Amino acid sequence: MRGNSERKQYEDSIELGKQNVECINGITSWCKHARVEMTHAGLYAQMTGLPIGMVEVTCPHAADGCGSMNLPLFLPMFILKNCVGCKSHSPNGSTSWVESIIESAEKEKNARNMRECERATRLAELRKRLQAIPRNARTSASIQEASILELTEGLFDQDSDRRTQSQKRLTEAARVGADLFPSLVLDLLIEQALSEEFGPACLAVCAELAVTRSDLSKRLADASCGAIKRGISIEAGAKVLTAVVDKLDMPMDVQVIQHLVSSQSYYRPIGGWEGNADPEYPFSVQMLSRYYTANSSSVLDAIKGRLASNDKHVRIDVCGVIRAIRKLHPGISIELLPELIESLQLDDDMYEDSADGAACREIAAAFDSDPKQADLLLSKKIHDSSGELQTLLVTPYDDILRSHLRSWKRSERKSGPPASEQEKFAFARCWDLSQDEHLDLKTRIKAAEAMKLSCKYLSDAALPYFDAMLGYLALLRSQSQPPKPPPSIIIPGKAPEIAEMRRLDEWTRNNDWSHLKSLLSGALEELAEEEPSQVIDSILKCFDGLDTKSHEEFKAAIMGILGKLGQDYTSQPKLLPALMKGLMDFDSALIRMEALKASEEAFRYADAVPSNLLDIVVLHLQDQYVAVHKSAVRTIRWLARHLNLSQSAQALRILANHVRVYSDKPFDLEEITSAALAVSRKDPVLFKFALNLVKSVFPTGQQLVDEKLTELLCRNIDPEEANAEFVAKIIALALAEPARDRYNSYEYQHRARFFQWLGGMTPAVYFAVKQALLESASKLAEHDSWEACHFASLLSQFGDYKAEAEVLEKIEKPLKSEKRTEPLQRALQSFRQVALANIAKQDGQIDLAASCLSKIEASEK
Amino acid sequence: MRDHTLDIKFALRSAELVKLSQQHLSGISDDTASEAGDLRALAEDIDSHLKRCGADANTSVWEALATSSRALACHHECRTAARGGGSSLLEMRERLAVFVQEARESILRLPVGPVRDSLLSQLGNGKEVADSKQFAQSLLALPLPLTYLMKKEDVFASRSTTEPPEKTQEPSVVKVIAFLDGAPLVSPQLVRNDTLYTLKFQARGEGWPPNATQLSLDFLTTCPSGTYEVSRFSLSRPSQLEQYEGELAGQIIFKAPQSALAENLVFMVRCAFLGENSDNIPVPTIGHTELQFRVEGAEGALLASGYRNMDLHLSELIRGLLKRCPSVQGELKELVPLLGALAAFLGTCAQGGIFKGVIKLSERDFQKKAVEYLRMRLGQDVQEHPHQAGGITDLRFRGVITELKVESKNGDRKAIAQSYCPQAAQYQGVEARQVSVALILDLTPKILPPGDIRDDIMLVDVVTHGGTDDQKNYPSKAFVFVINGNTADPSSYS
Repeated sequence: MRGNSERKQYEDSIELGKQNVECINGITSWCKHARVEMTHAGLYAQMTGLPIGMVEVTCPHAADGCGSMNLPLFLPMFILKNCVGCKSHSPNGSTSWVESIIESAEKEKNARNMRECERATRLAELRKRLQAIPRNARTSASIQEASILELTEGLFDQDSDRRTQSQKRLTEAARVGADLFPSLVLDLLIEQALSEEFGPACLAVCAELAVTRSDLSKRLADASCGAIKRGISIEAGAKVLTAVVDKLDMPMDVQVIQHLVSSQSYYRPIGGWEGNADPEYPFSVQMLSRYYTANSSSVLDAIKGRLASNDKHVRIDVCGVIRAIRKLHPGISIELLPELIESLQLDDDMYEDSADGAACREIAAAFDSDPKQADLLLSKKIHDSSGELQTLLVTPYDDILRSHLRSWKRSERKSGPPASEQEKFAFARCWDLSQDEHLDLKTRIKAAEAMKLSCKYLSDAALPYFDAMLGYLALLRSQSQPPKPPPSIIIPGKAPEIAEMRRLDEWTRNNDWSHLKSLLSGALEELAEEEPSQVIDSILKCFDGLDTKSHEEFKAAIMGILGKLGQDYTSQPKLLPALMKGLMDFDSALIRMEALKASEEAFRYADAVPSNLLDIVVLHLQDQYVAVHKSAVRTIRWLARHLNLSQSAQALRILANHVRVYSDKPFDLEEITSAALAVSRKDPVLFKFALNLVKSVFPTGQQLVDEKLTELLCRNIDPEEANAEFVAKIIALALAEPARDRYNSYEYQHRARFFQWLGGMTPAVYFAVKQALLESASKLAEHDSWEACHFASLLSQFGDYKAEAEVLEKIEKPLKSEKRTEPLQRALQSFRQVALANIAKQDGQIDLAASCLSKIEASEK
Repeated sequence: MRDHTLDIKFALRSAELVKLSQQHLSGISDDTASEAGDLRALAEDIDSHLKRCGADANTSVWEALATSSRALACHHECRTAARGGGSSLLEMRERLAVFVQEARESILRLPVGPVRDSLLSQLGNGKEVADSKQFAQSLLALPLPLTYLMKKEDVFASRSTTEPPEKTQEPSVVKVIAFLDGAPLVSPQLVRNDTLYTLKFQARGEGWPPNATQLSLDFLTTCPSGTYEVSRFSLSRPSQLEQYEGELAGQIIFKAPQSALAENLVFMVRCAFLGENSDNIPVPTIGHTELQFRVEGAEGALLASGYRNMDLHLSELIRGLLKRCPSVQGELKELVPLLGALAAFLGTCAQGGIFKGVIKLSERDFQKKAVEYLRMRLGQDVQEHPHQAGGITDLRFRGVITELKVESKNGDRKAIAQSYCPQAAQYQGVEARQVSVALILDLTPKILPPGDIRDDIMLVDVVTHGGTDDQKNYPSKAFVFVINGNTADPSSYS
C-alpha cells in the first residue's frame, strides 16, 4: 500500500526542506557571488514555507550550475567542483559550513585512495602467487596439459583483457576437453571458487567441468555450496549444482536455498533492462525447482520470509522468483496466496517498480491456476478490509481481464479467442463488486474500470450481463447522491474533524459517484461498439419507453450508447430517428448536448450525413444553453466537410458571433476558431473571412492557446500557399514569446514545427515577412539564446547572411559575462564571423572573408 | 523536425570546416602531395559532417565543396605522379575524370550565379581541372552556410522491442589429441627416418560456424620442407553444428635422421574453419597444441643404449648442459659413449632385477659387475683404479672419471648426488674437464616401489671451492646414475 509511504514521503520532504535551508544559508554566507533561486515548488512548499522543490544555485564564476530538489546531495558536488581554489571567492559571513564540506571530502578522498591502493597491492600479490602455481607446473607437465595450464595462468593475470580471454577459453576447454585438466588446476579452481576475487571466474569453469567430470562431483558441489553461501557468483554456483545434483545424494541446505532466492533481482531499472530482456537466472531457478520437488516447504519458507519484508525491492525480487518457479510448478502461486495477499498491506510507493503490482500479478497467476480457491480468499479479504487495501485487492481480477488484452489484435477483433473460464469468472466478480454498496466507492470504481476494459476486449464474457448492466445504470442514474459513508468511530481525545476536510471528502465522494456512473455508461458504450447487432434492439426499445422528465439523465446516457452504435454501418439507419429525437428534445439541454456528441461519434468518419441533421447541428450553434452550443461547435468541426455552402456560411456567421461573445475566454476561442477554419475550408472567400477571424483573436493572452491556434494554421495552410504570408506573421508573433518547454524534447513541441514550416517558405514570402521574423528573433534572443539560434539557422537557409549576423549579434548581447556562458559566447562569435565572411564573399571581397574566418576559434574537444 | 535538433557544437564544427577549407584552398601554391592529402582529408571531413547533418537546405554547397576538393586533390596527385614518372598515371587520370564529373554535377545543383559559372568554366571539358589555382579561388568565393541542425540519435534504439538478431554460437576452442600409429603421441615422440607413420587427430569442439565447410588442421614448423612430408588434415562439416567431434587422419614421414644433439623438431598445431569463400576463421586449440619429434636413423645413433626413452632423456640432459655450458662441447666425444653404456647398465639391472633382494654388497663387488658390463660395451678403454689428484679413482674411460659407490642408508636422490659428486668432480677437475660421472647402487630398503627410471639419471651442479658457479668460466657438473638394489617383488607392493 502506498498510504504509509506517502506519509513517510511527506515527513521526508519536510526534513529535506529543512536541510535545504541549511544548505542555502551555508552557500550564501560562504560567498557573495553565490545565487540561489527556487524555480519550482509544490503543495508541500506552500504548506510549510520551506524550500521543497527545484532550487537552482549558480555563480558567475562557475562553469556550471546546480539545480536540484536535494541540495544536501548535489550542492557539495557543486562546491567541490567550482569553489575549491576559486580566485574570485568573496566571503559573505560564516564560511564554516562549506569549509567542513571541503575538509570532509578531502579526508574521504584520501581514505578511499588508500583503501583502493591497499586492495590493489594485496590483489596484485595474490595474482602473482596464484599465477606462479600453473606456471611452475608447466615445465614438467605433458604437452596436452600445457595449454590448460597456460590458460589457468591467464585467469589470474593482472591484465583484465587476458583474464577475460583466458576465462572464456578455459570455460570452452572445460566443455570440450575436461579430461585435459590436470589435478593441480582442478585443485586451484576449486580452492579459488570460494574466493571473492576469483570465485566468479573459477566457478564459471567449474560449472562446465561439473557436466563431464563425475569424479569431481562431490568436491564441486561442496565448493559451489560454499560459494553460494558466501554470495559469490550464485548463478554459476547453481549451474554446478544442477550438473551434479543427479550424481550425488545432496542434503537439503536451507542457507543455499535462501541465497538462491535472495540473489535474484527482478527490480526494473529506470528505462528498463538492456534490450528489453527480463533478467533470467535459469540455474538458480532450476535448483529451486528441484528443492521444491524434494521438499516444497523448504523453498516456500524462504519465499514467505521475503514476502513479509517491508522493503519493496525485496518483495519485487521474490515475486520474480515465484514467477520463474511458476513456469515449472504452476501451483506454487496458490500455495503462497495468503502471504501474497498479506504482503499488499506492506509499504509501497509510486516510484519506479511496484511491489503491490508484482504481488497482484502473482495473485492473478494463482487465480489462473485455481480460480475458485483464489476467488474465495480474495473476496473474503475484500469484504474484511477497507480503504486502499480493499481497492488493491481488485487489481488481480483486473490483471486477469487485462491479460486478454496482450493477445488481442485489432485485425482479429471479430475472431479473437473466446473468453476463458477464468476471465468469465473474474468479470462476474467485478460485476458483483461494482454493485456492492458495502464496499468503498473507490473499490467499486476499480471493479467498474476492469469491466469497462473487458467490454471492449472480452465482449463475449460481458454480453450476457448487458441487460442487467443497463438496468443497473438506470438505477444509478436515478440516484443523484452517493451512498452514505459508513459511520465513523469517535475516539476520545481525537481532534474534531475540520469542516473543510469534511467538505473535501463530500466533494470526493460525489466525484467518485459520478465517475462510477460514467464508467458503467462507458462499459455499455464499449459493448455496444463491439457487439452492435446484439444490443441495438434492447437499446432502442429502452429509449422509446423513457420519459425525458423522469429519466433525463438515463436517457442522456443512452444517447452516448447510440453514438457508439452509430459507428456501425448497418445500425445507422435504425438509430437515426432516435438520434433526431434526441437532437430535437427541447425539454432537456442535457439530452440535446449528448445527442450532438452522439452525432459526432456516429458520423465522424461517415461518407454521408443527412442534410437535416446538419441543419439541426448548425441550429444548435446558437442554442441558448452554453453546454449545447459548445457541443455543437465541437460537432460542426468534425462534420464540417459535409456542410453545403449555405450551411457553411450560416455556421461561420454564428461562429463569428461566438468569437465576439467569448473574446475573453481564450480556451473557448481555440475551439471556435478551429471550427471556423474547418467550416470555411471549401470556399476561399469564407476561408479568408475565417482567417481574419483567427487574426482578430490573436494574441489571446494564453500562450498555449496562441501556439495551438498557430499550429492549426500551419496544418491548414502550406508555406507555398497564398495565405502563407499571413501565417508566417502569426508564427513570428508566437515565436517572439519565450515559451519553450525546457523540460521536454524540443523536437516534439509546436515551436519546432513552426520553424520547420518557416523553412518551407518561398523566397518571396520570406522577404515579405523578414522584418517580422527579425523582430521576433530580437525579442526571443533576450530570453532564450538557444532557441533564437533557430532563427539564425532559418536566415542562413535563405542565404540572408546579413540578417543572420544581425540575429547572432543580438543573441550574444544579452548573455552575461559568466563563466558558464563563455563557451556559448565564443561559439556565437565564431558563427557571426562565418556569416560576415559569407557577406564578404557575396560582395566579392575574398580577402575580407579570409580575415573574418581567421578569427574563428577552435572548439573545445 | 523530430529527427533533427539544433546543436551548437555541431554548428561550431561546420564553422571550423569553413575555416579549414579557407586554409587549404587559399594555400594552394604548388602542386605537392601534401596539399593533395589535405584536400582529400577536407573532403572526407565534410562528407562525415554531412552524414550527421539535418534538414538544412544548403547542404548542396557543402557537397559541391567536398566533391571539388576531391577533384582538386586527384588533380594534384596526377601532377605529382607525372613528375615522378609513376606507372599509375593513366589510372589516376581516369579517376580524375570521374571526380571532375562528380564535382560538375554537384556544382550544377547550386543556385545560378557568377561563382557557379566560374567553377563550371574551370571544369569545361569534363575530364580535368583547367586551372587548379583559379578553381580554388572560385571555391573560396562560395558562401558556406553554417549547419545548425543535426540528425538526432535515437537513444532508445537499443531498448526497442525489435527481435534481437539470431544468436550464432561462437566457435569454442578445439580439443586436439594426436595419435601416432594408434598410440597417443608423447612429447618428444621418437621416430625413425624414411618410415611412414599414421598420424591421426581426434578433434572436438562446439559452435561450428554456419558458413564453414570444413575444419582444417595444419602445422607451423621451422623444419625445412624437404625433410618431411605430412598429409593435409581436414574435418568435413558435421550434421550437428552445436557440438562436433571427428577424426582427422593422415600420414607423416621424416626423410633424414637428426643429429643426437640437435633440438627436437617442433610442429605447432593450428586449426581454422574454412568458409565457402575460402575465408579462414582460426580457432585456438587445447590438448596436443604442439608436437615434438626426434628423428633417429636405424643405425649410427650417438646414444644407443637400447632403451629409447632413456636415450631421449639423456639427450635432453646433454642439450640442456650444452646450452648452459657451451665449453663442455669438447668433452662430449668421450662422455657420450660412456653415458650411453651406463644408461644401458642401469636399464639392464632394472629390467633383469640384478640387484633384487640384495641387502648388502661391497663396493668392490659392485665395481666388478659394473666394469664387466662396461667393458663388454666399451672395450679395453675402461680402466680400474688409476691414480688421480692424489687419490684412487674407481673407473676411467678415455679420461672421463666414473666414481662408483654403494649407498645403504639414504635413498634420497638429491642427498646421494650431494654426497658423491664432489669426489668425482675433484678427480675430473685436475684434467681440465668439467663433467664427471657417479654411479651409485642404492641398497636402502624399498618400502615404496621404484618410480620412472629416468628420475635415476640426473645432471647436477657440483659446488666447488673458489666461489659460486656464476663466477666461474668452467663450473663443474656431474651425471649421476642410481641403480635400485634391494628391491622386492612387484606383487609385494600391492
